[in-house]
Amino acid sequence: MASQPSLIKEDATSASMGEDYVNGWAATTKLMAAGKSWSGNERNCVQLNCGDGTFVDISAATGLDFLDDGRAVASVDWDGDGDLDIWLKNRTGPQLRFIRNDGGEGRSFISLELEDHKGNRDAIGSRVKIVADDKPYSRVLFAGDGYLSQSSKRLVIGLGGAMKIQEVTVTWPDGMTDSIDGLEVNKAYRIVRGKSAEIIPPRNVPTIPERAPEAKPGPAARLVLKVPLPLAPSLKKNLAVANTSGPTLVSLWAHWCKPCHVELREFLRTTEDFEKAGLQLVPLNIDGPSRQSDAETLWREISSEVPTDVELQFGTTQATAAVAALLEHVREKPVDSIPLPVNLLISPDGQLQVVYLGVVDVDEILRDAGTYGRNTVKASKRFQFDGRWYFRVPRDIAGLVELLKAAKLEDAAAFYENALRKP
Amino acid sequence: MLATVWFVLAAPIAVANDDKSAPIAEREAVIDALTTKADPNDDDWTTEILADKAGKQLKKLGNVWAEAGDKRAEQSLFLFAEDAKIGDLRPDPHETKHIGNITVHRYGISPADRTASAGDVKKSLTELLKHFSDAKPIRTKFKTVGVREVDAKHFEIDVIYQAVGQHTDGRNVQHTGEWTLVWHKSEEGNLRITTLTQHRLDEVLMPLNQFVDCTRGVIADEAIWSPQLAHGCEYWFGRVDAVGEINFMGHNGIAVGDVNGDGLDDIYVAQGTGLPNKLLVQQPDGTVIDTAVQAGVAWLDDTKSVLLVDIDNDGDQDLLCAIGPTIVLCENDGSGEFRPRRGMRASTPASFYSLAAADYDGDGDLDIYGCRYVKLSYGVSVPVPFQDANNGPANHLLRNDGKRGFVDVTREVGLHINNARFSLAATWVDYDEDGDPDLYVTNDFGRNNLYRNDGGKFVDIAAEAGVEDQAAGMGASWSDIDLDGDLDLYVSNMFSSAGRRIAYQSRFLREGSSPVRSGVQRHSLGNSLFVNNGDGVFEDRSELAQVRLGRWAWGARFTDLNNDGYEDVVVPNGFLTNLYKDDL
Repeated sequence: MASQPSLIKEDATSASMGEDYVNGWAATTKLMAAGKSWSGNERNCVQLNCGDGTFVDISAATGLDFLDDGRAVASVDWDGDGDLDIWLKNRTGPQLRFIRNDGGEGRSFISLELEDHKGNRDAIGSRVKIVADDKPYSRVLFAGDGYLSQSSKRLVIGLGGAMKIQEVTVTWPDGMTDSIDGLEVNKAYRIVRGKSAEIIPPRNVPTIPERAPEAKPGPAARLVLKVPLPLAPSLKKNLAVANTSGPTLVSLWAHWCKPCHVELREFLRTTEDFEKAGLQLVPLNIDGPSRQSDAETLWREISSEVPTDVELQFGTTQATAAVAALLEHVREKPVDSIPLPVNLLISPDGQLQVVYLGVVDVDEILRDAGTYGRNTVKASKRFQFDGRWYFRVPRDIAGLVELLKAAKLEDAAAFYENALRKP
Repeated sequence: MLATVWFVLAAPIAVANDDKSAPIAEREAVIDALTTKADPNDDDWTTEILADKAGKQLKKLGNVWAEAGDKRAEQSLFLFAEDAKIGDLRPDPHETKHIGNITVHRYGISPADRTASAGDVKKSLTELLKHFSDAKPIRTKFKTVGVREVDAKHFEIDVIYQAVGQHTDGRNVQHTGEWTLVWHKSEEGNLRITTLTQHRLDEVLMPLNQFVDCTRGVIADEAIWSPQLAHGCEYWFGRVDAVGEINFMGHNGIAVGDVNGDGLDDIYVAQGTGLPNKLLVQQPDGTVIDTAVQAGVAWLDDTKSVLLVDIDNDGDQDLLCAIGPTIVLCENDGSGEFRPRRGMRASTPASFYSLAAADYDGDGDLDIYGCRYVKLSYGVSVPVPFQDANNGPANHLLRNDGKRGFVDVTREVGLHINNARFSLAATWVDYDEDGDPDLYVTNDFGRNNLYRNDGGKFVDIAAEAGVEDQAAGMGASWSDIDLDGDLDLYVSNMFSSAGRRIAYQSRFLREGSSPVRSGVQRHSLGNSLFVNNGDGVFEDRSELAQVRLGRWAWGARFTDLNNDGYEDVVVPNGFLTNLYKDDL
């Protein structure tokens, strides 16, 4: 987030609030990026309409008071049983929740679908009024309300136990109204403007099993770069990447990092597969000079189990700085210390293609070496999940230059600055 | 809210002199210093130190209630002075309501009862917790929303008390109360409650299992769950290539609609950068299949609002996605497969947040209003002034001209007025029932807009209608809550205990003008309910109706949960829960 102070400066109006204020925001942003919580661990709220103009908090009593960072909510009679179920969208995992409503059962309802051939077909903006037990219940058909949310267009209206409908009026978006007679409770109808209502046959209500999401740790991270990053020659040198005809896997490790040892053993055991894939393994130790001999001893121990030609490489402080800068650039997240194990997959033309954080599966690396280890891969294919990009966004090379300068990697910074100057 | 921001606001507002602005390195040092300031004990705000200490004591009380079973009241005594005054915490209910199978007891304390009298603390607490089963834990939350120094040895705090447990008869029981506690500080720094005054208490009794989490019952497919939807931004941030908008804030929405015309509702789910949006198509058994890839809508770009609406009036649901500053229209071929048709791009880079569709000009097709929030990004594009920001990006109204596409008509219809706020959400509703949809826009850091539609031209009448609601607005929902025939408005805002505590201190913004001060104070109060008087004016009933406490409330939506015909409110909330539990 090194570029923030300069961005703030661009916003001249903020000066009127005083520098402390602006700096306060910058501090906030920094803390957020560093992974601090802010009004986090807040439970969702539910307020029951008491029918007398007041509400009462029933959040915990309903069990809907999830600790998720909730964002969106949509209501829909998903299973067609005559009450409103709920979809919730969260910032945190689980990103989605589906809540089956069993609280409306036994109380009458009417379900309505609207269709307008004079106005917009979906009849968005219509309002229906149902009178039952002399009470006028009304609903509006929205396309977007709450926050980032759209609920179902099938309106389900609870009738508080009334068994007879006195009146149904639809006010269409242009203000014209239709009155519809003869509708019954606990049924679903389609109302087409200017025509009589037709009944929608009841659905075979499925039994959706209760199954709450379990909290599970996420998998190791595998960042397939959306836009590959050509490595400056000095960075290649830092990372001990030689010119080869195949891809290279730089595997950063340290003496203190136990998972790294496990991973290296696994890599060496599968040397043959690496060779078949033409994948060059560079085990780059970043313990630093003071622990170099410990690292050598450990490497001898690991490599003695499997005969190998792979040579151990030692990273300088510059190598550590280079990896930190690259990680921060790719993740746009501050890097306090390198979260070992880190593996970098680099294509033969010297472009950084995939970054792995945490212990990775060898098969996955070999697969990626096949896909991304060649020099050109279609941009639309570049991610771990199937999907498509709408926008092509370039890398923030200027941001990388700043990071490299801050890390005193002048040669690399100059390389990218030059690249920026080229049209 | 973040203590740092409140503290910074507390400093007198000075008009900065540009010439004096510090060099970047120096400035970074200032910012670094501020990041360490979030611990109230490092600061000279003694009221915050007191609130913090009292809060810790109440947490201990909560632990006792969680575990002590039938010894709860007795073991609570450690917190009270020997001669503590405490009123009757559960007198005869002032009011009892049976709403479906939910029972609500309201203990509205009459003025005479408010004066706490010397009493037996143990007896009062036993009575308060009478309905909670001893065998089950009670979960409590005490939110300190006000703090005042009384004298050298005493201070008082206002607390929202909440507790949930199981009733002795097996139902759930929940309390929400408002207390004022007077504390005594001993010379050794020990805190004891000398007076507990209860202003109100709501007790809710409700059967178990009315709402059942069937998430994995519907999304049974492991392949779309575990590698993706199971994890949120707190996981994905730093695990996707930071090209494009960073996957951090989690502003990714949902839209429900029947995409393949089979009579069953489906749901389209937006995700952050690098994660494909999902089209979850419902099967007859209620489960879903993700068809986003073959349907051509598995966008990997950060997508905020999404809508399923029939844009071309051909009888199927088309898809609108807000991707950065562009609204992407994908046309449904009727079978649930889509083709991208148009991308409507704003002239400045600010991203679209919520979208809302309606036929504003009555020509028979749906037009789109898109809200925009920050010019660059949150925290970088700083709202100025904080309580009434007017330096945000423009929102846009796009008129649907059928085959000719969409035209930006924001200016020509008058929606360019008051259009530089930090807008998060909009709703179209014909609140005045004159046959055209009006537009309510919810803005963070300041006033909202109510644009009345006068035959296709708009006038912002939020002030005269009484719905400006100058606060940290995030969403809005409409319902006839009292069945009087007109539509009432619910606005979801920020509720911040820290903001409430700090902004009401006499030293807070003491050099600011009173509208600035009151504007900032309003910011942390919470959600609002505006009841329509039927004459074009709304009455703010937020306090009376008890809707304030919605926490950091993003979208709230009216939804009738128990089919009694009166719409209830569901409030998803919480800002950022991250790796570090300590909150800013």
